[in-house]
Amino acid sequence: MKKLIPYFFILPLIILILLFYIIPAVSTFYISVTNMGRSLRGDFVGLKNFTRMFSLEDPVIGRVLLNTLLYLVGALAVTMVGGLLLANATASLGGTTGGFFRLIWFLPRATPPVVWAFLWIWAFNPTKFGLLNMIFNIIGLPGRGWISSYPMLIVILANGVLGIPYTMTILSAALGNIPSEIIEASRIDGASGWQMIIKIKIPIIWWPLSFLTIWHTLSFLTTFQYILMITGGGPFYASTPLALYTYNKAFQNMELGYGSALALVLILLSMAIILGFRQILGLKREA
Amino acid sequence: MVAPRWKKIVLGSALLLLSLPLLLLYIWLFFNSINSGPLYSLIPNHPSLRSWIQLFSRLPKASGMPESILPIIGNTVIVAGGVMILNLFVCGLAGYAISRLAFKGKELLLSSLLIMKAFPLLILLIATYFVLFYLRILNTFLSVILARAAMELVMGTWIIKGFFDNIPREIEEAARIDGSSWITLWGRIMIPLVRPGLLAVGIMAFIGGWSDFIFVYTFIFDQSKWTLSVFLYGLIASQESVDYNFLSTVSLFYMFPMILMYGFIQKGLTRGVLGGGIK
Repeated sequence: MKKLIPYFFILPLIILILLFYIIPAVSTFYISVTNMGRSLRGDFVGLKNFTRMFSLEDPVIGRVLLNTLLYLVGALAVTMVGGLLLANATASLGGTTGGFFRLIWFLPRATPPVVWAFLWIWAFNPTKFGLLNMIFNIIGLPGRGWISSYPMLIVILANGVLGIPYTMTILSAALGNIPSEIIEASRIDGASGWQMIIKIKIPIIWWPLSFLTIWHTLSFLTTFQYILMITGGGPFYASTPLALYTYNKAFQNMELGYGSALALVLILLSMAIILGFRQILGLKREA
Repeated sequence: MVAPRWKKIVLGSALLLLSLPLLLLYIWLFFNSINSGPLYSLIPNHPSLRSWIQLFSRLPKASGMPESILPIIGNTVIVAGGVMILNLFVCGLAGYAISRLAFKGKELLLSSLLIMKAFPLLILLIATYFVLFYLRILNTFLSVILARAAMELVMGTWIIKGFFDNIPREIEEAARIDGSSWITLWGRIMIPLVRPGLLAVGIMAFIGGWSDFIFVYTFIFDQSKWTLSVFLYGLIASQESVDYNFLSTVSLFYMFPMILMYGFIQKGLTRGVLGGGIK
Protein backbone atom coordinates (compact mmCIF):
# COMPACT_ATOMS: atom_id res chain seq x y z
CA MET A 1 0.00 0.00 0.00
CA LYS A 2 2.68 2.46 1.00
CA LYS A 3 4.51 1.84 -2.25
CA LEU A 4 1.48 2.97 -4.18
CA ILE A 5 1.19 6.40 -2.55
CA PRO A 6 3.63 8.19 -4.92
CA TYR A 7 1.64 6.92 -7.88
CA PHE A 8 -1.49 8.48 -6.46
CA PHE A 9 0.33 11.81 -6.52
CA ILE A 10 1.47 11.54 -10.12
CA LEU A 11 -1.64 9.86 -11.50
CA PRO A 12 -3.39 13.05 -12.76
CA LEU A 13 -0.17 14.15 -14.46
CA ILE A 14 0.26 10.75 -16.11
CA ILE A 15 -3.34 10.73 -17.37
CA LEU A 16 -2.92 14.13 -19.01
CA ILE A 17 0.46 13.18 -20.52
CA LEU A 18 -1.08 10.03 -21.94
CA LEU A 19 -4.13 11.81 -23.32
CA PHE A 20 -2.39 14.80 -24.84
CA TYR A 21 1.16 13.69 -25.66
CA ILE A 22 1.55 9.93 -25.96
CA ILE A 23 -1.77 8.88 -27.51
CA PRO A 24 -1.87 11.81 -29.99
CA ALA A 25 1.75 11.14 -30.99
CA VAL A 26 0.97 7.48 -31.69
CA SER A 27 -2.35 8.40 -33.36
CA THR A 28 -0.54 10.77 -35.72
CA PHE A 29 1.40 7.79 -37.11
CA TYR A 30 -1.84 5.84 -37.46
CA ILE A 31 -3.88 8.64 -39.06
CA SER A 32 -1.07 9.46 -41.49
CA VAL A 33 -1.44 6.09 -43.24
CA THR A 34 -5.22 6.43 -43.66
CA ASN A 35 -7.44 8.56 -45.85
CA MET A 36 -9.33 9.92 -42.84
CA GLY A 37 -11.71 12.76 -43.61
CA ARG A 38 -14.60 14.59 -42.01
CA SER A 39 -16.18 11.43 -40.57
CA LEU A 40 -13.00 10.72 -38.55
CA ARG A 41 -12.96 7.19 -39.92
CA GLY A 42 -10.40 6.18 -42.47
CA ASP A 43 -9.18 3.25 -44.52
CA PHE A 44 -5.58 2.17 -44.65
CA VAL A 45 -3.87 3.62 -47.72
CA GLY A 46 -0.27 2.70 -46.99
CA LEU A 47 2.28 5.38 -47.74
CA LYS A 48 0.09 7.18 -50.25
CA ASN A 49 0.02 10.40 -48.21
CA PHE A 50 3.80 10.45 -48.11
CA THR A 51 4.29 9.75 -51.82
CA ARG A 52 1.81 12.53 -52.47
CA MET A 53 4.00 14.86 -50.48
CA PHE A 54 7.37 13.88 -51.92
CA SER A 55 6.55 13.02 -55.52
CA LEU A 56 5.38 16.57 -56.18
CA GLU A 57 1.86 15.32 -56.63
CA ASP A 58 1.15 18.22 -54.33
CA PRO A 59 1.95 21.24 -56.52
CA VAL A 60 2.34 23.76 -53.70
CA ILE A 61 4.52 21.82 -51.26
CA GLY A 62 7.74 23.26 -52.69
CA ARG A 63 6.43 26.75 -52.21
CA VAL A 64 5.34 25.89 -48.67
CA LEU A 65 8.74 24.51 -47.70
CA LEU A 66 10.48 27.57 -49.10
CA ASN A 67 8.07 29.78 -47.14
CA THR A 68 8.83 27.81 -43.98
CA LEU A 69 12.55 28.44 -44.34
CA LEU A 70 12.10 32.10 -45.18
CA TYR A 71 9.71 32.64 -42.30
CA LEU A 72 11.90 30.79 -39.80
CA VAL A 73 15.06 32.70 -40.70
CA GLY A 74 13.27 36.05 -40.89
CA ALA A 75 11.31 35.77 -37.64
CA LEU A 76 14.32 34.36 -35.81
CA ALA A 77 16.47 37.29 -36.95
CA VAL A 78 13.88 39.84 -35.80
CA THR A 79 13.43 38.16 -32.41
CA MET A 80 17.07 37.59 -31.61
CA VAL A 81 18.54 40.84 -32.92
CA GLY A 82 15.65 42.88 -31.53
CA GLY A 83 15.77 41.20 -28.12
CA LEU A 84 19.56 41.49 -27.84
CA LEU A 85 19.55 45.15 -28.88
CA LEU A 86 16.80 46.02 -26.42
CA ALA A 87 18.33 44.09 -23.54
CA ASN A 88 21.63 45.88 -24.12
CA ALA A 89 20.23 49.34 -24.69
CA THR A 90 17.88 49.24 -21.70
CA ALA A 91 20.74 48.05 -19.49
CA SER A 92 22.95 50.96 -20.65
CA LEU A 93 20.14 53.43 -20.07
CA GLY A 94 19.44 52.00 -16.64
CA GLY A 95 16.93 53.31 -14.11
CA THR A 96 13.47 54.53 -15.04
CA THR A 97 14.17 55.12 -18.75
CA GLY A 98 15.43 51.57 -19.27
CA GLY A 99 12.51 50.23 -17.27
CA PHE A 100 10.07 52.26 -19.35
CA PHE A 101 11.32 50.74 -22.62
CA ARG A 102 11.36 47.24 -21.14
CA LEU A 103 7.75 47.77 -20.10
CA ILE A 104 6.72 48.88 -23.61
CA TRP A 105 8.43 45.90 -25.20
CA PHE A 106 6.82 43.53 -22.75
CA LEU A 107 3.35 44.61 -23.93
CA PRO A 108 3.14 42.16 -26.89
CA ARG A 109 3.48 39.26 -24.47
CA ALA A 110 0.62 40.57 -22.34
CA THR A 111 -1.57 40.94 -25.44
CA PRO A 112 -3.98 38.08 -26.26
CA PRO A 113 -3.16 36.47 -29.65
CA VAL A 114 -6.36 37.67 -31.30
CA VAL A 115 -5.73 41.26 -30.22
CA TRP A 116 -2.14 41.07 -31.45
CA ALA A 117 -3.32 39.80 -34.85
CA PHE A 118 -5.99 42.50 -34.94
CA LEU A 119 -3.41 45.25 -34.35
CA TRP A 120 -1.41 44.06 -37.38
CA ILE A 121 -4.41 43.56 -39.63
CA TRP A 122 -5.56 47.01 -38.73
CA ALA A 123 -2.20 48.78 -39.02
CA PHE A 124 -1.82 47.45 -42.57
CA ASN A 125 -5.47 47.75 -43.55
CA PRO A 126 -5.72 48.65 -47.28
CA THR A 127 -8.33 51.38 -46.72
CA LYS A 128 -7.70 54.87 -45.41
CA PHE A 129 -8.55 53.65 -41.90
CA GLY A 130 -5.37 51.59 -41.70
CA LEU A 131 -2.75 53.18 -39.44
CA LEU A 132 0.03 53.09 -42.03
CA ASN A 133 -2.16 54.37 -44.85
CA MET A 134 -3.39 57.13 -42.57
CA ILE A 135 0.17 58.23 -41.86
CA PHE A 136 0.93 58.02 -45.60
CA ASN A 137 -2.12 60.15 -46.22
CA ILE A 138 -0.98 62.82 -43.75
CA ILE A 139 2.42 63.12 -45.42
CA GLY A 140 0.79 63.11 -48.86
CA LEU A 141 1.63 59.63 -50.16
CA PRO A 142 -0.89 57.26 -51.71
CA GLY A 143 -2.08 54.31 -49.59
CA ARG A 144 -1.67 50.70 -50.58
CA GLY A 145 -2.87 47.17 -49.85
CA TRP A 146 0.02 46.26 -47.61
CA ILE A 147 -1.05 42.77 -46.61
CA SER A 148 -1.62 41.60 -50.18
CA SER A 149 1.59 43.25 -51.42
CA TYR A 150 3.96 42.10 -48.65
CA PRO A 151 2.25 39.19 -46.85
CA MET A 152 5.44 37.35 -45.90
CA LEU A 153 7.18 40.43 -44.56
CA ILE A 154 4.21 41.34 -42.37
CA VAL A 155 3.87 37.80 -41.07
CA ILE A 156 7.58 37.67 -40.24
CA LEU A 157 7.42 40.99 -38.40
CA ALA A 158 4.26 40.15 -36.46
CA ASN A 159 5.70 36.86 -35.19
CA GLY A 160 9.25 38.13 -34.78
CA VAL A 161 8.23 41.14 -32.70
CA LEU A 162 6.11 38.87 -30.51
CA GLY A 163 9.23 36.87 -29.65
CA ILE A 164 11.15 39.96 -28.55
CA PRO A 165 9.70 40.24 -24.99
CA TYR A 166 10.82 36.74 -24.04
CA THR A 167 14.28 37.18 -25.57
CA MET A 168 14.69 40.59 -23.99
CA THR A 169 13.57 39.46 -20.52
CA ILE A 170 15.91 36.48 -20.40
CA LEU A 171 18.88 38.29 -21.92
CA SER A 172 18.38 41.27 -19.58
CA ALA A 173 18.59 38.91 -16.63
CA ALA A 174 21.65 37.18 -18.11
CA LEU A 175 23.41 40.48 -18.81
CA GLY A 176 22.58 41.65 -15.30
CA ASN A 177 24.47 38.65 -13.96
CA ILE A 178 27.75 39.66 -15.63
CA PRO A 179 30.10 40.88 -12.87
CA SER A 180 30.62 44.62 -13.23
CA GLU A 181 34.39 44.19 -12.71
CA ILE A 182 34.65 42.50 -16.11
CA ILE A 183 32.88 45.39 -17.82
CA GLU A 184 34.95 47.97 -15.92
CA ALA A 185 38.23 46.22 -16.73
CA SER A 186 37.43 46.08 -20.44
CA ARG A 187 36.44 49.74 -20.42
CA ILE A 188 39.74 50.70 -18.82
CA ASP A 189 41.47 48.66 -21.55
CA GLY A 190 39.66 50.90 -24.02
CA ALA A 191 37.01 48.60 -25.49
CA SER A 192 34.31 50.44 -27.47
CA GLY A 193 30.58 49.75 -27.06
CA TRP A 194 30.43 47.36 -30.00
CA GLN A 195 33.63 45.58 -29.08
CA MET A 196 32.23 45.12 -25.60
CA ILE A 197 29.04 43.53 -26.96
CA ILE A 198 30.73 41.24 -29.46
CA LYS A 199 33.90 40.25 -27.62
CA ILE A 200 32.75 40.19 -24.00
CA LYS A 201 29.00 40.16 -23.49
CA ILE A 202 27.97 37.72 -26.23
CA PRO A 203 30.50 35.03 -25.23
CA ILE A 204 29.37 35.28 -21.59
CA ILE A 205 25.65 34.98 -22.43
CA TRP A 206 26.28 32.36 -25.12
CA TRP A 207 24.26 29.73 -23.27
CA PRO A 208 20.97 31.65 -22.94
CA LEU A 209 21.46 32.93 -26.51
CA SER A 210 21.63 29.41 -27.92
CA PHE A 211 18.76 28.28 -25.73
CA LEU A 212 16.57 31.13 -27.01
CA THR A 213 17.56 30.49 -30.64
CA ILE A 214 16.55 26.85 -30.48
CA TRP A 215 13.45 27.51 -28.41
CA HIS A 216 12.24 30.14 -30.90
CA THR A 217 13.08 27.91 -33.86
CA LEU A 218 10.79 25.23 -32.45
CA SER A 219 8.11 27.78 -31.71
CA PHE A 220 8.20 29.47 -35.14
CA LEU A 221 8.28 26.09 -36.86
CA THR A 222 5.04 25.03 -35.22
CA THR A 223 2.87 28.08 -34.43
CA PHE A 224 0.58 29.27 -37.14
CA GLN A 225 -2.27 31.06 -35.40
CA TYR A 226 -1.04 34.60 -36.11
CA ILE A 227 -0.54 33.83 -39.80
CA LEU A 228 -3.96 32.18 -39.92
CA MET A 229 -5.55 35.35 -38.58
CA ILE A 230 -3.46 38.00 -40.36
CA THR A 231 -3.12 36.73 -43.94
CA GLY A 232 -4.84 33.35 -43.82
CA GLY A 233 -1.69 32.09 -45.56
CA GLY A 234 -2.47 33.94 -48.77
CA PRO A 235 -2.66 35.36 -51.25
CA PHE A 236 -2.28 32.01 -53.05
CA TYR A 237 -0.06 30.31 -50.45
CA ALA A 238 2.33 33.28 -50.54
CA SER A 239 2.58 33.29 -46.74
CA THR A 240 1.78 29.66 -45.91
CA PRO A 241 4.51 27.82 -43.98
CA LEU A 242 4.31 24.10 -43.27
CA ALA A 243 2.52 24.39 -39.90
CA LEU A 244 -0.32 26.46 -41.35
CA TYR A 245 -0.49 24.25 -44.43
CA THR A 246 -0.91 21.26 -42.14
CA TYR A 247 -3.69 22.97 -40.18
CA ASN A 248 -5.54 24.10 -43.29
CA LYS A 249 -5.32 20.68 -44.94
CA ALA A 250 -6.71 19.05 -41.81
CA PHE A 251 -9.34 21.51 -40.64
CA GLN A 252 -10.29 23.50 -43.74
CA ASN A 253 -10.20 20.73 -46.37
CA MET A 254 -10.89 18.13 -43.66
CA GLU A 255 -8.13 15.89 -45.05
CA LEU A 256 -6.99 14.59 -41.67
CA GLY A 257 -4.95 11.76 -43.19
CA TYR A 258 -2.82 13.97 -45.38
CA GLY A 259 -2.66 16.61 -42.63
CA SER A 260 -1.27 14.01 -40.23
CA ALA A 261 1.39 12.98 -42.71
CA LEU A 262 2.46 16.63 -42.90
CA ALA A 263 2.29 16.89 -39.10
CA LEU A 264 4.55 13.87 -38.84
CA VAL A 265 7.20 15.70 -40.86
CA LEU A 266 6.93 18.58 -38.38
CA ILE A 267 7.14 16.20 -35.41
CA LEU A 268 10.25 14.53 -36.80
CA LEU A 269 11.86 17.90 -37.50
CA SER A 270 11.10 19.10 -33.96
CA MET A 271 12.35 15.90 -32.36
CA ALA A 272 15.55 16.14 -34.39
CA ILE A 273 16.06 19.72 -33.19
CA ILE A 274 15.29 18.81 -29.56
CA LEU A 275 17.54 15.76 -29.51
CA GLY A 276 20.28 17.50 -31.48
CA PHE A 277 20.44 20.32 -28.98
CA ARG A 278 19.59 18.49 -25.77
CA GLN A 279 22.47 19.98 -23.90
CA ILE A 280 21.59 23.56 -24.74
CA LEU A 281 17.91 23.10 -23.99
CA GLY A 282 18.92 21.94 -20.54
CA LEU A 283 17.58 18.48 -21.20
CA LYS A 284 20.69 16.75 -19.99
CA ARG A 285 19.76 15.76 -16.47
CA GLU A 286 20.54 18.57 -14.11
CA ALA A 287 17.51 18.04 -11.82
CA MET B 1 27.88 50.00 -16.59
CA VAL B 2 25.68 53.05 -17.05
CA ALA B 3 26.70 55.21 -20.02
CA PRO B 4 27.59 58.95 -19.87
CA ARG B 5 24.85 61.52 -20.26
CA TRP B 6 25.13 62.53 -23.94
CA LYS B 7 25.36 58.89 -24.96
CA LYS B 8 22.25 58.17 -22.96
CA ILE B 9 20.31 60.87 -24.76
CA VAL B 10 21.35 59.56 -28.19
CA LEU B 11 20.59 55.98 -27.18
CA GLY B 12 17.26 56.92 -25.60
CA SER B 13 16.16 58.81 -28.73
CA ALA B 14 17.15 55.92 -30.99
CA LEU B 15 15.22 53.53 -28.79
CA LEU B 16 12.20 55.80 -28.75
CA LEU B 17 12.25 55.88 -32.55
CA LEU B 18 12.44 52.09 -32.66
CA SER B 19 9.62 51.74 -30.15
CA LEU B 20 7.39 54.35 -31.74
CA PRO B 21 5.52 52.02 -34.14
CA LEU B 22 4.72 49.63 -31.30
CA LEU B 23 3.71 52.44 -28.98
CA LEU B 24 1.59 53.97 -31.71
CA LEU B 25 -0.37 50.73 -32.17
CA TYR B 26 -1.45 50.67 -28.52
CA ILE B 27 -2.09 54.41 -28.31
CA TRP B 28 -4.22 54.17 -31.42
CA LEU B 29 -6.14 51.26 -29.93
CA PHE B 30 -6.90 53.37 -26.88
CA PHE B 31 -7.86 56.52 -28.83
CA ASN B 32 -10.18 54.54 -31.06
CA SER B 33 -11.96 53.05 -28.10
CA ILE B 34 -12.79 56.50 -26.72
CA ASN B 35 -13.84 58.03 -30.03
CA SER B 36 -17.11 57.98 -31.89
CA GLY B 37 -16.55 57.26 -35.57
CA PRO B 38 -13.33 56.28 -37.36
CA LEU B 39 -10.11 58.16 -36.70
CA TYR B 40 -8.60 60.01 -39.64
CA SER B 41 -5.73 61.46 -37.71
CA LEU B 42 -3.81 60.47 -34.62
CA ILE B 43 -6.00 62.51 -32.28
CA PRO B 44 -9.58 61.63 -31.30
CA ASN B 45 -11.99 63.92 -33.18
CA HIS B 46 -15.22 62.96 -31.38
CA PRO B 47 -14.27 61.81 -27.89
CA SER B 48 -17.04 59.58 -26.54
CA LEU B 49 -17.59 56.60 -24.29
CA ARG B 50 -20.18 55.17 -26.68
CA SER B 51 -18.28 51.91 -27.33
CA TRP B 52 -17.62 51.28 -23.66
CA ILE B 53 -21.31 51.76 -22.88
CA GLN B 54 -22.24 49.49 -25.79
CA LEU B 55 -19.90 46.83 -24.50
CA PHE B 56 -21.85 46.43 -21.27
CA SER B 57 -25.37 47.16 -22.48
CA ARG B 58 -26.28 45.85 -25.91
CA LEU B 59 -23.71 44.84 -28.51
CA PRO B 60 -23.90 46.57 -31.90
CA LYS B 61 -26.14 44.66 -34.29
CA ALA B 62 -24.34 42.41 -36.70
CA SER B 63 -25.72 39.26 -38.23
CA GLY B 64 -24.63 36.10 -36.49
CA MET B 65 -23.29 37.93 -33.45
CA PRO B 66 -24.54 37.50 -29.89
CA GLU B 67 -26.50 40.28 -28.21
CA SER B 68 -24.74 40.49 -24.88
CA ILE B 69 -21.12 40.14 -23.87
CA LEU B 70 -21.81 38.76 -20.40
CA PRO B 71 -22.17 35.08 -21.41
CA ILE B 72 -18.98 35.38 -23.46
CA ILE B 73 -17.08 36.77 -20.49
CA GLY B 74 -18.60 33.98 -18.40
CA ASN B 75 -17.37 31.34 -20.86
CA THR B 76 -13.89 32.83 -20.89
CA VAL B 77 -13.77 32.78 -17.09
CA ILE B 78 -14.95 29.14 -17.05
CA VAL B 79 -12.15 28.11 -19.43
CA ALA B 80 -9.45 30.17 -17.71
CA GLY B 81 -10.59 29.18 -14.21
CA GLY B 82 -10.85 25.54 -15.25
CA VAL B 83 -7.30 25.47 -16.58
CA MET B 84 -6.10 27.18 -13.41
CA ILE B 85 -7.80 24.82 -10.95
CA LEU B 86 -6.83 21.71 -12.89
CA ASN B 87 -3.21 22.81 -13.19
CA LEU B 88 -2.89 23.75 -9.52
CA PHE B 89 -4.20 20.32 -8.57
CA VAL B 90 -2.08 18.35 -11.04
CA CYS B 91 1.14 20.34 -10.57
CA GLY B 92 0.73 20.57 -6.78
CA LEU B 93 0.47 16.79 -6.50
CA ALA B 94 3.10 15.86 -9.08
CA GLY B 95 5.59 18.55 -8.09
CA TYR B 96 5.55 17.19 -4.53
CA ALA B 97 5.99 13.57 -5.58
CA ILE B 98 8.86 14.38 -7.94
CA SER B 99 10.62 16.52 -5.35
CA ARG B 100 10.13 14.32 -2.30
CA LEU B 101 9.00 10.75 -2.94
CA ALA B 102 10.93 7.81 -4.31
CA PHE B 103 9.17 5.62 -6.85
CA LYS B 104 9.89 3.33 -9.73
CA GLY B 105 9.92 5.08 -13.08
CA LYS B 106 10.83 8.48 -11.65
CA GLU B 107 13.89 8.76 -13.89
CA LEU B 108 11.77 8.04 -16.94
CA LEU B 109 9.16 10.60 -15.86
CA LEU B 110 11.83 13.25 -15.31
CA SER B 111 13.45 12.77 -18.68
CA SER B 112 10.14 12.73 -20.52
CA LEU B 113 9.08 15.91 -18.71
CA LEU B 114 12.28 17.54 -19.89
CA ILE B 115 11.64 16.58 -23.49
CA MET B 116 8.01 17.70 -23.23
CA LYS B 117 9.18 21.06 -21.95
CA ALA B 118 10.63 21.81 -25.37
CA PHE B 119 8.09 19.84 -27.39
CA PRO B 120 5.57 22.10 -29.17
CA LEU B 121 2.18 20.57 -28.39
CA LEU B 122 0.41 22.29 -31.29
CA ILE B 123 1.88 19.84 -33.81
CA LEU B 124 -0.33 17.15 -32.28
CA LEU B 125 -3.49 19.20 -32.83
CA ILE B 126 -4.99 16.90 -35.48
CA ALA B 127 -4.49 13.78 -33.40
CA THR B 128 -5.71 15.60 -30.29
CA TYR B 129 -8.90 16.43 -32.16
CA PHE B 130 -9.22 12.74 -32.97
CA VAL B 131 -8.68 11.75 -29.32
CA LEU B 132 -11.23 14.31 -28.09
CA PHE B 133 -13.72 12.99 -30.64
CA TYR B 134 -13.42 9.48 -29.23
CA LEU B 135 -13.70 10.79 -25.68
CA ARG B 136 -16.92 12.45 -26.91
CA ILE B 137 -15.98 15.82 -25.46
CA LEU B 138 -15.49 17.87 -28.63
CA ASN B 139 -17.51 21.06 -28.49
CA THR B 140 -17.35 21.22 -24.68
CA PHE B 141 -15.40 23.53 -22.39
CA LEU B 142 -13.78 20.42 -20.95
CA SER B 143 -11.93 19.72 -24.22
CA VAL B 144 -10.34 23.18 -24.23
CA ILE B 145 -9.59 23.10 -20.48
CA LEU B 146 -7.87 19.70 -20.66
CA ALA B 147 -5.84 20.52 -23.78
CA ARG B 148 -4.74 23.89 -22.51
CA ALA B 149 -3.88 22.48 -19.07
CA ALA B 150 -1.76 19.79 -20.75
CA MET B 151 0.10 22.54 -22.58
CA GLU B 152 0.84 24.50 -19.39
CA LEU B 153 1.44 21.71 -16.92
CA VAL B 154 5.02 20.77 -17.74
CA MET B 155 6.39 24.19 -16.81
CA GLY B 156 4.02 24.30 -13.83
CA THR B 157 5.14 20.96 -12.42
CA TRP B 158 8.74 22.06 -12.84
CA ILE B 159 8.21 25.33 -10.99
CA ILE B 160 6.33 23.71 -8.08
CA LYS B 161 8.99 20.99 -7.82
CA GLY B 162 11.60 23.74 -7.52
CA PHE B 163 9.68 25.35 -4.66
CA PHE B 164 9.32 22.02 -2.82
CA ASP B 165 13.06 21.38 -3.26
CA ASN B 166 13.79 24.50 -1.22
CA ILE B 167 11.77 23.43 1.83
CA PRO B 168 13.88 21.86 4.59
CA ARG B 169 13.18 18.18 5.08
CA GLU B 170 12.98 18.50 8.88
CA ILE B 171 9.54 20.11 8.67
CA GLU B 172 8.19 17.07 6.89
CA GLU B 173 9.92 14.57 9.13
CA ALA B 174 8.56 16.23 12.27
CA ALA B 175 5.04 15.96 10.90
CA ARG B 176 5.54 12.35 9.91
CA ILE B 177 6.62 11.43 13.44
CA ASP B 178 3.40 13.03 14.65
CA GLY B 179 1.68 10.37 12.63
CA SER B 180 -0.02 12.54 10.03
CA SER B 181 -1.30 10.67 7.00
CA TRP B 182 0.25 11.36 3.60
CA ILE B 183 -2.64 13.38 2.35
CA THR B 184 -2.84 15.56 5.49
CA LEU B 185 0.89 16.07 5.33
CA TRP B 186 0.62 17.23 1.75
CA GLY B 187 -2.51 19.35 2.07
CA ARG B 188 -2.07 20.83 5.55
CA ILE B 189 1.68 21.30 5.78
CA MET B 190 3.46 21.14 2.44
CA ILE B 191 1.05 22.95 0.11
CA PRO B 192 0.80 26.11 2.28
CA LEU B 193 4.61 26.30 2.24
CA VAL B 194 4.79 26.63 -1.55
CA ARG B 195 2.05 29.25 -1.85
CA PRO B 196 4.16 31.72 -3.92
CA GLY B 197 4.89 28.97 -6.44
CA LEU B 198 1.23 28.03 -6.65
CA LEU B 199 0.31 31.67 -7.16
CA ALA B 200 2.69 31.99 -10.12
CA VAL B 201 1.59 28.68 -11.67
CA GLY B 202 -2.08 29.50 -11.12
CA ILE B 203 -1.81 32.90 -12.74
CA MET B 204 0.15 31.53 -15.70
CA ALA B 205 -2.48 28.84 -16.22
CA PHE B 206 -5.28 31.38 -15.97
CA ILE B 207 -3.59 33.61 -18.56
CA GLY B 208 -3.15 30.59 -20.82
CA GLY B 209 -6.84 29.75 -20.71
CA TRP B 210 -7.95 33.38 -20.89
CA SER B 211 -5.93 34.13 -24.03
CA ASP B 212 -6.37 30.79 -25.80
CA PHE B 213 -7.51 31.07 -29.39
CA ILE B 214 -6.58 28.00 -31.39
CA PHE B 215 -8.10 25.33 -29.12
CA VAL B 216 -11.41 27.17 -28.76
CA TYR B 217 -11.43 27.94 -32.48
CA THR B 218 -10.79 24.29 -33.39
CA PHE B 219 -12.66 22.32 -30.71
CA ILE B 220 -15.76 24.48 -30.12
CA PHE B 221 -18.54 24.73 -32.72
CA ASP B 222 -21.44 26.41 -30.90
CA GLN B 223 -21.62 30.14 -30.74
CA SER B 224 -23.12 29.88 -27.26
CA LYS B 225 -19.74 28.58 -26.05
CA TRP B 226 -17.62 31.31 -27.61
CA THR B 227 -14.92 32.90 -25.50
CA LEU B 228 -13.68 36.47 -25.91
CA SER B 229 -10.93 35.41 -28.33
CA VAL B 230 -13.23 33.70 -30.81
CA PHE B 231 -15.86 36.41 -30.41
CA LEU B 232 -13.29 39.08 -31.25
CA TYR B 233 -11.99 37.05 -34.18
CA GLY B 234 -15.58 36.69 -35.44
CA LEU B 235 -15.98 40.47 -35.30
CA ILE B 236 -12.71 41.04 -37.17
CA ALA B 237 -13.43 38.44 -39.83
CA SER B 238 -17.06 39.42 -40.42
CA GLN B 239 -17.38 40.97 -43.83
CA GLU B 240 -19.90 43.59 -42.76
CA SER B 241 -18.85 47.14 -42.03
CA VAL B 242 -16.44 46.94 -39.14
CA ASP B 243 -16.90 49.26 -36.18
CA TYR B 244 -13.30 49.99 -35.22
CA ASN B 245 -14.30 51.88 -32.08
CA PHE B 246 -16.08 48.85 -30.77
CA LEU B 247 -13.33 46.43 -31.84
CA SER B 248 -10.76 48.52 -29.98
CA THR B 249 -12.93 48.58 -26.89
CA VAL B 250 -13.36 44.80 -26.86
CA SER B 251 -9.61 44.37 -27.45
CA LEU B 252 -8.65 46.63 -24.56
CA PHE B 253 -11.19 45.07 -22.24
CA TYR B 254 -9.87 41.61 -23.17
CA MET B 255 -6.25 42.67 -22.69
CA PHE B 256 -6.63 44.44 -19.37
CA PRO B 257 -6.72 41.42 -16.97
CA MET B 258 -3.66 39.93 -18.67
CA ILE B 259 -1.62 43.08 -18.17
CA LEU B 260 -2.64 43.19 -14.51
CA MET B 261 -1.71 39.57 -13.91
CA TYR B 262 1.60 39.76 -15.78
CA GLY B 263 2.48 42.85 -13.82
CA PHE B 264 1.74 40.91 -10.65
CA ILE B 265 4.05 37.97 -11.40
CA GLN B 266 6.70 39.43 -13.70
CA LYS B 267 9.57 39.20 -11.21
CA GLY B 268 8.79 35.64 -10.22
CA LEU B 269 8.31 34.69 -13.86
CA THR B 270 11.79 35.77 -14.89
CA ARG B 271 13.26 33.83 -11.99
CA GLY B 272 11.19 30.73 -12.74
CA VAL B 273 12.00 30.77 -16.44
CA LEU B 274 15.66 31.31 -15.76
CA GLY B 275 15.81 28.67 -13.06
CA GLY B 276 13.76 26.11 -14.92
CA GLY B 277 14.65 26.81 -18.51
CA ILE B 278 18.36 27.36 -18.60
CA LYS B 279 21.21 26.91 -16.24
